[in-house]
Amino acid sequence: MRDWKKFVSKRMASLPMPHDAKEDVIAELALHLEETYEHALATGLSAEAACALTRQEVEDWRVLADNICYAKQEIAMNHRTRTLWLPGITILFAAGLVLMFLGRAALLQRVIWIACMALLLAAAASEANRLSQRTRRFWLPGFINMTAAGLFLFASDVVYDPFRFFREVSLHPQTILSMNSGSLHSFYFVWLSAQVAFGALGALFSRRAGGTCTERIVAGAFPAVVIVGTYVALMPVTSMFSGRAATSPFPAYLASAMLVWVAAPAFALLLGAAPFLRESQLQEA
Amino acid sequence: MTKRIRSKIARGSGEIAILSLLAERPLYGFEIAKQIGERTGGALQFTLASLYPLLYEMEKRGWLEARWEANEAGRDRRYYRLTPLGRKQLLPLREEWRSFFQALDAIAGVSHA
Repeated sequence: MRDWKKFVSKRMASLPMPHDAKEDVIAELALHLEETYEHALATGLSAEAACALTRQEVEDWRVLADNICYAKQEIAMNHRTRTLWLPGITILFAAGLVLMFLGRAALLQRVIWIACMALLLAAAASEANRLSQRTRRFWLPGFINMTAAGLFLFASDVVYDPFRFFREVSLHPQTILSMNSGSLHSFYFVWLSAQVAFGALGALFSRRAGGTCTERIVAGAFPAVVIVGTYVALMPVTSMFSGRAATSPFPAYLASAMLVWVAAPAFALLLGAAPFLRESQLQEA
Repeated sequence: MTKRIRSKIARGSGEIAILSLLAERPLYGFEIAKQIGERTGGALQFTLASLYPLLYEMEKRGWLEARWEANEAGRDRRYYRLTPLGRKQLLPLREEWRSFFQALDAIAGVSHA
């Protein structure tokens, strides 16, 4: 006789629920499979055919876990989320947008973005038991990765040149590409090397939460994906407001920005994520 | 032989089917799926994947309550029973489905198909 409880436990390991509730669900589903199997045997099917028929009860275990999680979670957000996290994040996000459009205080703006992400993570942690599988294995690892990358960039900036914070000098991609910026080169390559670790972190968190290969790739490359989105969505608007598009070689700037801030970091992030794209031995078992 | 109804239509009818069955007596998951299949001549069939999310959703809404009990063979099963709130849903749901079939009949003539 098959051990249906073990069969279900392996497939529902990443179900984001308190331990006791999860054990209840696993036991109930296992008993259903056991009875389906026994019923199939009683109708005269061979053990193999009965087993195959029983397995057809669930096409995709990830989808089932998502559906069960959604069915069990509370519909309303908790009080703290409604009254603290969401307003806080909205205000900080708006403040960051204003700074971006003013084109000043680049480091302060970065601090605000990091705070936004940290708040999002805190909000997610306070709702941990209600998060869907997708949030746990895709959005959350991505945000952790992104926050770590942002923090590292900020810390590197301050360590590299403590006065820079006060002077508010920004790192233009063309400056980095030019061969005359030796000190900036070293700063950039240190930052780029760190992306390998961040990519690994994102992919690892995603895998631990049961993410698919694609989800791990996106979670690993999340900072680059967000930067692409930021450039595509905001740069034309920003340059329109500042009037730079008419006076500077905008396409060349965009291309160099993509190379320095997107393509190269994406490569480093994916390099870090690569070892975590395969299933772990535990999940394969 | 009754033709099996596609899953999207079957899923919509799940609530009323489950409430109607449990209005008669408490049942556990496998029995619910089995009874729905048998009573509809196989037209409505619920698999584990389609049944349990729906049961949990109805339990969350307070329409059902579930408890581990031993069945006739002495094996523990999680029995679902209707709550007073669940019982209250039956009548309006039946009305809603009746109106739905009348409306569908008016446009597609399904009762004569």
